Amino acid sequence: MKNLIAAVLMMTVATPVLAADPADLNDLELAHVAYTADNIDIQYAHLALAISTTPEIRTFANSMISDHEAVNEAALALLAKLGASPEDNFLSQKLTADSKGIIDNLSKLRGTDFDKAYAANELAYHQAVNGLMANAFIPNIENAEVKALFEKGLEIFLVHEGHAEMMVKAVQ
Amino acid sequence: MTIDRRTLMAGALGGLMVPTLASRVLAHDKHFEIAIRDFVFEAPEGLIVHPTDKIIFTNHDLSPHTATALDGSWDTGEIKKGESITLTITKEWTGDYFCAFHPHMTAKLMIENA
Repeated sequence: MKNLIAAVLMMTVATPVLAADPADLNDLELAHVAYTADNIDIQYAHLALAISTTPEIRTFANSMISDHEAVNEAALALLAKLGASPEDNFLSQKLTADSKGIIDNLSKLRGTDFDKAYAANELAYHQAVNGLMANAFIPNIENAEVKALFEKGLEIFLVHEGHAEMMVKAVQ
Repeated sequence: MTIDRRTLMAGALGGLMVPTLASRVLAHDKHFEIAIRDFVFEAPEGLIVHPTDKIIFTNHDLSPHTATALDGSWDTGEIKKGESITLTITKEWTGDYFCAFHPHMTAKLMIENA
């Protein structure tokens, strides 16, 4: 079981290691990455609600669903206002491919093994995505409204990162 | 010693300012607003409320929030971005509350039952 948890963590932490540079993505590609990353975390949360009975885990998962859905709703509204569509790209594809492996591994865990792996994955995932947003995405966004939405999103995801740290300690 | 009209006015206004600057805000059957912004409950400083007062909770964040008593004695339910919910305080209310979606968001209402 420890090997499974380790595998989940390795895949999560490996996510930012890429051949291409995320800083080269245009605004519409970044919007696609953000939408994809939101949906991946929503999928993790639904898995947690299906498997875990731990109140802290379930509260966190519910907040991930409501918060990421709210950010995605705002992103879609902004894109509609701008008359633009998100563009698929290598980073969205990498995040999606990695998430399938993580979901496969998490699905095999139960009880405290699942709780620990889910909590650790949420912390690592938010750390990785927040690092990308702060250092690679936001400095390179051209459209002011898109940039503002990413900045607002980062504020929310940093709160999630802090919440995930609390959750990791709670399920030790 | 002579006291001109300006001094009298300043004195009168100074007296009027005392309750405005006081840290305690006392009221009954009044409306108070608590904003939820950047994952923080923003209540008027020194607010003290009473049964029959009304509190308007307004969410300014993208994320939905709740204001929920720790002991469950009152609850706004989900408040989405830009929405407001008004609750009337009853004698059953207790002061400690949090956001059920983000448990680290905690605050305390000072409630006087007198």
